[in-house]
Amino acid sequence: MKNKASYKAVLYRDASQHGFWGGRATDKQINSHAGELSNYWTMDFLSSRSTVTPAAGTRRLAIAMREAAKKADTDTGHAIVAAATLAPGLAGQTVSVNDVTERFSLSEAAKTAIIDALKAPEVALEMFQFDLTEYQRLVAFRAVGLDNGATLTAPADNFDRVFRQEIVDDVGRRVRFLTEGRIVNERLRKNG
Amino acid sequence: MVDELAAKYEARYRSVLGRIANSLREHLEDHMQGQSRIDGITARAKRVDRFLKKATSIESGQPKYSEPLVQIQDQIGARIVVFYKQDVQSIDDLVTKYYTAIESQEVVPDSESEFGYFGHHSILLLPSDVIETDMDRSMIPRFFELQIKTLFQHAWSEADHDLGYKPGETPLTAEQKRRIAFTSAQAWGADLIFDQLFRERSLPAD
Repeated sequence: MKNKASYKAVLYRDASQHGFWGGRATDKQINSHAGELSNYWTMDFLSSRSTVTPAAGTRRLAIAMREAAKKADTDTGHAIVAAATLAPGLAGQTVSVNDVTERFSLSEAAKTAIIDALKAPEVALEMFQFDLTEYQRLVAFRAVGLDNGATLTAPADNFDRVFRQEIVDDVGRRVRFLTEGRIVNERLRKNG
Repeated sequence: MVDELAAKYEARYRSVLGRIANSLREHLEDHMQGQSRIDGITARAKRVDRFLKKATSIESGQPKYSEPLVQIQDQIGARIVVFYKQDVQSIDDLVTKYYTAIESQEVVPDSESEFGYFGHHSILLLPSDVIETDMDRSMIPRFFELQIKTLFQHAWSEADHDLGYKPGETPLTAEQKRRIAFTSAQAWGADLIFDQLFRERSLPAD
């Protein structure tokens, strides 16, 4: 090991001689400019694949964030939505659900809400490559509901540009949203 | 030896395999949501008698499996039945997008002039989402088998299995085998025609 910040290590083990080897790899170069080298090391040199496909891991994360934001209280939900808005920046990187919650410095309540929204808590540790297309398919729109009955909806990655937000009363948590555009359609819907 | 194997498999069959099969069916349904022309998705745990029959099978005079609990990969099996031949490919593409495949093959009769079993089989890594926290990990197989079949392939294999593989019954005669092969040819032809019709009807009208 030449450098403790940029090493690779792998351990495979299986209880049976005839089993499919499962392994755990540590690659400190995987999300750096040496990513291509990491792909070569994992796929070609070690003949290994991640146990979770990019789409499956990303889908798991996206649905957990979506469900957690829906069920959480206002502050926690806001923090999760903020993290979900920034998540596209992870495109192509190898992460776990836990990594994502750490990377966006989410509160314990927000982390717990996301982990609880997973089908099994252990999957939060599984690594996957973030698939932007899959993520945007599942987290396409962001909707904000106000206590006056309004619901504001815009593409998730563009919400803050479509709606400008002003704090009206910090203590009472009242905000004003501003937007401007040409009306292209109007709809009546059964549900909010 | 066989008794010990039977007891071990029965323990995992009763405590985890059935539950995992149910969760896996839901998992597959979730991931296939929105796909048209899926007739049904099922998943099952391999029955103890069928596991033992496979586990004790002989190949070239030797036991086929030295560690059946590890080597037999269809202890949990799932099936997706689709309408047309072309749907097999599109569903397989979706499956490999979300599930890690270690093996995939078109199962066809040995020679081009024979008719019999047709189906697309894959061995996939069991997703962790279907494993519950209280389950004994040592009892959980790493893989499951997924079959993707058309309605006609599925119907044929079910009837073939019912007629041809009942333990203790007299083997099929050559004439009966030929008649079963004939029904496979009919099913193969029906798939071909329905696939052609579907493609023609999908083309935009002039």
